[in-house]
Amino acid sequence: MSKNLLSVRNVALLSAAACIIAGFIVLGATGGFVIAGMILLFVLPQYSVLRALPIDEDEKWFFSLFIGIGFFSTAVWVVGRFMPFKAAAVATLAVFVILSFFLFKKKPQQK
Amino acid sequence: MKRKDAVVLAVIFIIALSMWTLPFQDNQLPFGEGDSAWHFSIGDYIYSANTAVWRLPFYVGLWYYGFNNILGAFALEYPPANHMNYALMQLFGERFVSVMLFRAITSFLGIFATYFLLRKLYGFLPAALASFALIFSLREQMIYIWGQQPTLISFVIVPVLLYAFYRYFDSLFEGNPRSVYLFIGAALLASQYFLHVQGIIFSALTIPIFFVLMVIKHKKLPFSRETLLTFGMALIALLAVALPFASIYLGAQGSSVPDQRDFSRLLQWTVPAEPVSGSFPPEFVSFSSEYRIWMLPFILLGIVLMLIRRKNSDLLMLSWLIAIYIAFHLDVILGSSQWLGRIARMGIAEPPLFFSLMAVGLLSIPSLIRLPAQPRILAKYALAIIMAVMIAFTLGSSSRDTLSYVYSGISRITPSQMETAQWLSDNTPSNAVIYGIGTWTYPKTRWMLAVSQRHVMRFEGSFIEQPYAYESPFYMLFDYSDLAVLANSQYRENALAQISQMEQTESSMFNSTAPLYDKNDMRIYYVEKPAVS
Repeated sequence: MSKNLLSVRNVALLSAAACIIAGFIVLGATGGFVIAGMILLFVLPQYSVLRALPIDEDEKWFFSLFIGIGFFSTAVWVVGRFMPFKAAAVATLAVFVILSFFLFKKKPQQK
Repeated sequence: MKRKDAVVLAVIFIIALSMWTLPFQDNQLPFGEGDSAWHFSIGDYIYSANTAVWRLPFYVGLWYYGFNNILGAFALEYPPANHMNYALMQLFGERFVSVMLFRAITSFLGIFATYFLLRKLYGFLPAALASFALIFSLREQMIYIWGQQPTLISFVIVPVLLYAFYRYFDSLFEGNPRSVYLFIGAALLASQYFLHVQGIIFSALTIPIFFVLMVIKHKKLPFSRETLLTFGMALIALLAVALPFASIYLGAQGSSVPDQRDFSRLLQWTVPAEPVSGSFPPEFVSFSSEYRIWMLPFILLGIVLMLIRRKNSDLLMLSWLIAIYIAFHLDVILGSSQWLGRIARMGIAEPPLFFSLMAVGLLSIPSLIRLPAQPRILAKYALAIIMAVMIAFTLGSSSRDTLSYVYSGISRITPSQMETAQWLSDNTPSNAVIYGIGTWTYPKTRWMLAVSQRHVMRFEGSFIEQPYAYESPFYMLFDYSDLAVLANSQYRENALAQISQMEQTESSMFNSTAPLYDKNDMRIYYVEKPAVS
C-alpha cells in the first residue's frame, strides 16, 4: 500500500504540485496559475499524443514540454486564423483531447 | 527516472523559481531592454484584442517599420509562437506578472533539459550537479533580464533535441533504427524554428558533426533504402510545418558584408568583448564571470575522458563542443563580422555543456583512482556536495546580487509613468504617435509604448514621415519625472541642465497651448501638424 502511494508517478505528481504551490507562495495567485497553466498547455496536450509512442515514460514528459513550448502556441495561432484567440486556445486543447482519445482507443486494438 | 529524480527536479525548480523571479518579486512593474517591451507588446495585443495576428498592430508595426522585404510593412518579425505564448499566459493571471513569470521559467528550462540529457547518458549525480550549477548561469540570466527571450528559449531545447538524435543515431548504428526518435527530433527542431531561428542553426551544426563522429567511430555509413525513406519523411514533415513561416525569416532585412577575416580568432575560444561592447557587457563573454577558474580543470578532465573513452554519448558531448567552437567562429568562417553580436548571443549554448563536462569530469575522479565500489559511491556524493556548496557560495551569491538589483529605481518604468501610459491608452486614438522627451532610457520609452498600446517613441528633433503615420495625430510627452529623481542624486548638475533644456523646448513649441495632461512631472500636448498641400 505505502509502496503504491510512493510510486514514481505519485511522487512526480506531488513534485508538480509542490512547484505550483511554490508559485503561489512566491508570486501569489498569478504565480500558481501560470505554472499550472504552463503544465496544462505546454505539457499535457503533447503528452496526450506522445504517450501512444513506444518510448520511455520520462522521455514522453520531457519531449512533450520542449515540443509543446513551440508547437502548442503555433497550433493555437493556426486555429486562431478562423476564430478569436481565446476560443482558439480552447479549441486547440479540445483537438488534443479528441486526438488523445482516439489514440488511446486505438492502442488496445493494436495489441 | 526514479522517485529521487522527481524530488530533485522539484527542489531545483523551486530554487530556480525563487532566484529568477527576484527581479519582480517586490516590484512587479515590467522590466527589460527594448526587445523585451517589443515582444511583450505583441503578445499583449493578441490577448487584449482577442485575435491571433498575422499583421502587427499600428503601434508595434511602426517600430521596425518595413523590416520584412517580402511581407512588407507590419509583417510579423518572428513566427507567432513566442507572442502567442505570452498571450496564453495572460489567460492565467495579471497582465505583466504572468508574462514575466513565463519569461523566467522558460529562460531556466535549460536546467531541466540538461538534467534530462545527463541523467539519461551519465546518471543521477552528474545530472543533479550540472543542473544545480546552471541555476546560477549569469549568461542565461543576462539574456533573460534583457528580454531577448526567443533566442534563449530556442536554445534551452538543445540538450533534449540532442538526446533525441543520440537515441536515433545510436540505434541506427546498432542496425536497429528507432525512427520514432528521428520524428521526435524533427518535432523538436520545428519547435526551435517556431521560437527563434538561431536555435535551429545551432542544432543544424551539431547533429551532422555527431553523425560524422559516429561514422568515423563505427567505420560505416548506416544507410539503407528504408533509412533514407524515413529520413526523407522526417525532413518533409519538418519542411511542411516550417515553410509557411519561412518568409518571416527570409524577408528580414540585412545582408552579410564581407570583410577581412581575422584568423587569429581561431586560436581564441570565444567572441572577444571589444567588438560586441555596444551590445553586451564584457561579463557576457568572459569565462571568469560565467565560471570560476577552479572549474576549468574539471571541464578539461571531462573533455579528456570523453576523448579517450569515445562512447556514443561522449561523441555527442564532443559534437556539442565542436559545434560551439564553430558557432563562435562563424564570422571567420563566413568572412563577415557583421553578425558578431548574434554570434556572441550563441554563447548561451556553452554553459549547459561546460557545467555538464565539469560534473562528468569531477565525478569520474573516484573511478579513475580505482576505489572499491562502496567508498567510490560515497566519494562521488561527497565531491558532488562539496562542489555544489562551492557553486552556491560563489556563482550563487553573485547571481543573487545580479537578479536582486537589476532594473531597480528609475531604470524601470515607474508607477507615475505607468499612470501616464494608461492615460494615453484611454485618451488618444489607436493610431496616435507620441513623441517622448526626458524619459531616462530608451527601453523605458518603449515600455510606455507597450503599456499604453500607443506608438511612443523618443523625439529626436523631427517628426516621422512614414506613409502609415500621415493620418496619425501626434502628441508630445515631456517627462520630467526621471530627471527630478536624478536631480537629487550625484547626477544633479546634468539633470538640472537637461531639465532647463527641456523647459526651453517645451516653451518654444507650446508657449500658448495648455497641456492635455499635467501630472507627476509629466505633460502631454497635442501637436498641430502643418497642413499638407
